[in-house]
Amino acid sequence: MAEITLSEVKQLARLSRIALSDGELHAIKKDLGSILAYIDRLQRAVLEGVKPVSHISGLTNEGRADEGKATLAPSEKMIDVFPKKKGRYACVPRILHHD
Amino acid sequence: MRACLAFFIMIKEFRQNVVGGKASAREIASQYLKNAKELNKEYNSFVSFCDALALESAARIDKKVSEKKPLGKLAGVPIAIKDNMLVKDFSATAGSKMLEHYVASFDADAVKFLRDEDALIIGKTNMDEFAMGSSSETSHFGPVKNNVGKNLVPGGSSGGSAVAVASGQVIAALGSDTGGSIRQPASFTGTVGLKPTYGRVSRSGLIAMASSLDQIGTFTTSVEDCALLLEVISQDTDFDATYARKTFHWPQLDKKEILQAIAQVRIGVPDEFFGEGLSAEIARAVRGALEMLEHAGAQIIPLSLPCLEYALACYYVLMPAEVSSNLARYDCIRYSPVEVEKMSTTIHDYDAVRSIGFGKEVQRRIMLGTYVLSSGYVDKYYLEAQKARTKILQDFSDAFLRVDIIAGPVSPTFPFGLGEKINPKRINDPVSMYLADIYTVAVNLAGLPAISLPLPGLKLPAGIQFIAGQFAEEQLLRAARGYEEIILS
Repeated sequence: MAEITLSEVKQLARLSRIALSDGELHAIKKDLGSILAYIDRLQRAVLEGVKPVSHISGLTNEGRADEGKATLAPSEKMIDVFPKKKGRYACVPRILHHD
Repeated sequence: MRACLAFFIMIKEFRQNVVGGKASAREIASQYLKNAKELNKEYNSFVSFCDALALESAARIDKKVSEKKPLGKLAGVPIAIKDNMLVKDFSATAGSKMLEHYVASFDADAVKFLRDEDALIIGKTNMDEFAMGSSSETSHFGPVKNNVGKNLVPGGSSGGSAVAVASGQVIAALGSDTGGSIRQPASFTGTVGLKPTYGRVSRSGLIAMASSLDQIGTFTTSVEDCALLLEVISQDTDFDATYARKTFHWPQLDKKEILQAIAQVRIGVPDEFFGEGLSAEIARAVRGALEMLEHAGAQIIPLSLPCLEYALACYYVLMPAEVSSNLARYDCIRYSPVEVEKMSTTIHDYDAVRSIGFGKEVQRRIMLGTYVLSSGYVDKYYLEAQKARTKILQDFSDAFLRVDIIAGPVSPTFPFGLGEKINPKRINDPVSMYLADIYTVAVNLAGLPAISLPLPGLKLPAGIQFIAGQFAEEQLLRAARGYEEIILS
C-alpha cells in the first residue's frame, strides 16, 4: 500500500480544519503511516461477494405522529452555551471577505 | 493490595440502610463526597464533583423516608458518571480542553433514569479525551492513576469510573465503551464492567465518539449490582433513534438456580483469543477459570473466529471515520476552548482553535478518519471495512448457533506503566496503544453485550471476558453470576 505523502497530510489537516506546524505535520505523517500499515491486515479478510453493513442491530424506521412535545431544554439554556452571542443569536466566523 | 475485589453486592444493602432508617442519604452523600475528594488527590479519577446535586437528592430522599413514601431502586447509592455524559447544570468536558467551559443544558437519558431512582450523583469521572485511548492518560485534566499502584495506568478510556469504583469512592459508575473502554479498565482495576448490546441503552446525552459503536455501560463490584443498574439505565426513551426499546429485566436467582444454569451453559473459546502478545500468566488464569467452570458442568467448546485477526484493523477504519464526522461539530460557534473576546472572526481561527482545543490523539483520529473517507480512498478503506464488519457479524452469529457464551481474556496484558505508551519525550507508535484493545473491539463491531469479570489469584488485576449474542444480556449475566459463585466465592 502506498505511503502517505506530506502533501496529502497537509491536505488532510486542511480538510479536518486543524492548524498544524511543520513539525506536527511530520510527526502525524509518521503516525498515520504506521496506523495505515497496520490497517493493511484488512486484506486478510476474504470479502468477495460480501455486502457492506450499515446498521448492525436490524432496526427499521418507525414513524410517529407529528405533534409538538416539550423539548430537551428551554432554548435559552441552549443559547447560554454559545461562546459568543448577541441576544438570541450565535456569532459565527466570517467566511466571505471584501478587501 | 487487592487484585480481585468482585462479588460485593452493595446497591441493595445501601438502599435497605436508607429505607430502614439506619443511614440518612445526607450522611451518605456528605461522607462519599468528602472521601472521594480526598482520594481524588491521589488518583485524579474525577474531573468535577456534583455536591449541590448529591445533597439536594439526599434531602429529597430523606424527606421521602420521613414521610414513608416509596423510594427508588437506587435510593442513597453513590454513583459516578463518566465526564462524557451530561448532567444538567454541571460541566461535561469529555476530558477535552475543547469543552472545558461547557455546561450541560439537559440530563443524558441514562443519568435521568438514575436520578429518577433516587441515586446520589457524586461527580464526573476523568477519561481519555473524547474517549479516545486505552490508558486514561490523554485527558486534558491529567492522567488517572490506578489504585493498585500509582505508577500504573487504570486502562481507558473510562479509567476514572473504574478507579472510582475500585477504590470505593463510589458504589457504582457509568462508563462508555466504543472499542473496549469499559471492559479494559474493568480488567485493569479488578471491577465488573459491562458493555451492553448496541441499542440496549439510550445514547442521548452521551458525547458522541463513533455513533455505530458507542454504548453506555456500568462498573460495579458484583454482577447483581450490574444487573440492577442495567435494568434502570435501559429504560425506554424517545431521544435515541437507535434505542431498540428492549428494557432489561433481571430475574432474581438463588444460588441453586445459578449453579444449575452454569451446568447447562455452552462456552465457546476461540483459538484466536490466545495468540501472540497475550501474557502467559493471563492465558493460564483464563484457562484455569474455564476448567473450573467445566468441573461445575459447563461445556467448553473450542472455536475458531477468523474475523478476530482483522477486527482491530476494521475498527481503525470505521471508528476514525465516524470520529472525523462527529467531531466536526466542535466549530467554535457552539463550543470554544478560548475566551470568546480573544477570538477574531475569520474562518482561519476555526483551524487554530481546533488545534488548541483538541489533543494529539484526537487530531490523529480526525485526520485518519478524513483520510479513509476522502475521495480515492473511501472504496479502498471505508467500504472494505464495512464489508469486513459484515463478516465479523456473520462469524459471531455462526458461533452463537453452537455456543451460548464466548469467553477469553479482556486485555492481552496487566496494567502497564504510566508513560509507557504515551510519553511526550519519546517517539511512540500509536499502534502499540491500539493493540491494548485487540480482544475487545470485535464485540463493538458486532454490537454484542460483553462483560469483564476479575480473574482470581494474580499479582495484578486482569479480567476474563464473557460475550453473548445481541440482546442476550440475561444469558450473559446468568453465566457471570455462575462465574462469581464458582470462581470468586
